[in-house]
Amino acid sequence: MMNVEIDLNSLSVEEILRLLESVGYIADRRIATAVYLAIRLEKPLLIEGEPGCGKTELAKALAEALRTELIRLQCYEGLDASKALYEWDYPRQLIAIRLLERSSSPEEIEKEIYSEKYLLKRPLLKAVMGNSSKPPVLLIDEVDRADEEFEALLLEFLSEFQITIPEIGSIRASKKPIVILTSNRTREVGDGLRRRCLYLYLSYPERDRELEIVRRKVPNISEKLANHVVDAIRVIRSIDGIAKKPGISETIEWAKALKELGYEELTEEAIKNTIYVVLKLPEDIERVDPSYIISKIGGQSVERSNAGKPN
Amino acid sequence: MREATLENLIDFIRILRENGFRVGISEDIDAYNAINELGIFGDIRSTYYRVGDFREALRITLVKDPNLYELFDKLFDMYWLTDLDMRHRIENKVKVEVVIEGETPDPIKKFLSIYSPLEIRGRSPRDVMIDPGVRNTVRRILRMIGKKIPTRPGVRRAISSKGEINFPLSYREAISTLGDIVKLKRAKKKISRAHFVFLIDISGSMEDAWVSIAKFLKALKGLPTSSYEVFLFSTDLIRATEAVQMGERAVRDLLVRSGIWGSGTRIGESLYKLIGFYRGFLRSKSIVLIISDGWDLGDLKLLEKSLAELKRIVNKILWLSPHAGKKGFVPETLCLKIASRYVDAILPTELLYDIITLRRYLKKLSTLL
Repeated sequence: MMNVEIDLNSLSVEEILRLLESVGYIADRRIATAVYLAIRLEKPLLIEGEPGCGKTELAKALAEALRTELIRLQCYEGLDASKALYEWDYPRQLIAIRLLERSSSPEEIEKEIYSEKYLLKRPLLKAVMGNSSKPPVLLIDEVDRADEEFEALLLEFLSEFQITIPEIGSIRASKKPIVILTSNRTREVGDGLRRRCLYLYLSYPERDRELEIVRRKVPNISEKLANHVVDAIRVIRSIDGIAKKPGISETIEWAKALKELGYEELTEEAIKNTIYVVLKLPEDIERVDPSYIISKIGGQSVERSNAGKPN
Repeated sequence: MREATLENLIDFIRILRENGFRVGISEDIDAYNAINELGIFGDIRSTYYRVGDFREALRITLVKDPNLYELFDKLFDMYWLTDLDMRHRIENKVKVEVVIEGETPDPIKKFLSIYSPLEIRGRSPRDVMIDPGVRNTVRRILRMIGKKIPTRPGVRRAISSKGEINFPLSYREAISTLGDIVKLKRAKKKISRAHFVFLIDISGSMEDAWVSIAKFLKALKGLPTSSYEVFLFSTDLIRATEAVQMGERAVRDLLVRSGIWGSGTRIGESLYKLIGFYRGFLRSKSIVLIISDGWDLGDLKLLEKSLAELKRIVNKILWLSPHAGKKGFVPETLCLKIASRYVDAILPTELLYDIITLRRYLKKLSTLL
């Protein structure tokens, strides 16, 4: 990639498509339009979809493509303001009090211990305090894992891009970060948060896009194997009762595994030996019949590939 | 092709709202800004040649639920790409509604799904008397269920001697005593109050249970309105929360008006409507209580799909069946077999108005956490 400064004001949907592609993320026009509008309207983008469909990857790729910092906040149950916004470094403050109590007045001590150097900056504060010329990409990952109360906190942050620290005052972002929130839809994200965001639902990609992703992510893979893997994954997704359907990441991992094992095409044996790369639940693995997949993708049923399997 | 002007955009958003889309004013502005940003606004040529971008911009800004994508596309095509009959209807402010049909079941199954194994009864529900004691019992029961199935603990902590030692809180307190930790502070997470959603089957096969159900509904009157929602269903589903709050007469009027009292059962279709149309009344902390005998010959695939989606949205689903308390009960109807995969427990209906039955099942409820 050429080392050229990217001007966010002159971006277009086509330009975003090209930039994402240059860092290995094959997007479609829908995705590029959503990213474009998020940047231009300075609105957070909420991306929902099945696990492994490239939601997190999009934020990473965008940061890389725009050559800006990626700040990530991984959500989990119990995540609170002290882990997301800021926290005072209490042990260090106590030590400072001990050191200063003989030489300084209480007012001086207070001024010292509530200064920025005792502030532990968490991801949201980092995102508003950034002093780079370009806004960072703030990834708030798996927001559905966090509690509803945390969503309320996000509402405040996302509407103003401002954090108030009582001892210091309000800190407002000089450049609004590009915010991407992801959710696997394990629970419903609140209406308030949805209203504040642009919304994109990512489902499994079209066949041609998935094939292109495999070609890009697994260099030198045989064309036949790449086609077989993509078709087989689509067959597996369509099987009734599969609890954890494979996402794009599983497609890539499977293609890599098969290539490493020396397969040039998909066979029943190859499926039997590597299906655990694609499916992670024993019940799901039991539901998959390799001969059915082979018959559906129109490949060979028993013959091994010419390259064979390494010893 | 209709031009992307402000007037047309506002009309289109009105149609979306009429069809159940929850679009706020801020989203109107986002949509306007988005099509402006893309250079489509007020330019018929751009609107025509870049209809894909235009559709995407409106979808990204106005639709926040993928279940509504299909309906959005239909409305988009009808409004922006055809303007014959629609123009007349919009100019005359006629309500525009579009219905997305689910999978069409086998004709015989469809017939049976409309008319349940019991005959249609064209009668209205009978009057029910309730004494104040029942009201207090029901409220006590709901409180007990709410405590046994708490919603997720929040991030806010309350100081509690039974909680864990909280170091940040202790350090923070120590700052005021110039660094001396006088006492270790303890805190525990607050549990938010339960929210109940009652889905009550009022089909013919549930008529024998009506007296108990009616007593239960009467007992709900006067409870904080934010703590529950009531939906009644048979071949269709209606929201009855306001009628329940107004009293028995309002509930009877609603049942007569809607014409769903004592008819067949289509649970899948009813749940589908609940999720699609009344989504805003479901919260992630909701405890859904489906009161039904499970006699249903509706679209079972739709039932399974709807239950899976409902499970994803709410906190817990309990199925209360009038037969569940009987000796040797096993969920053998197709509907209950499917439901047992998605609901957290199948329990007897008496649980809602008999405190002795509830006590018997409390242990089971506490393991649902």
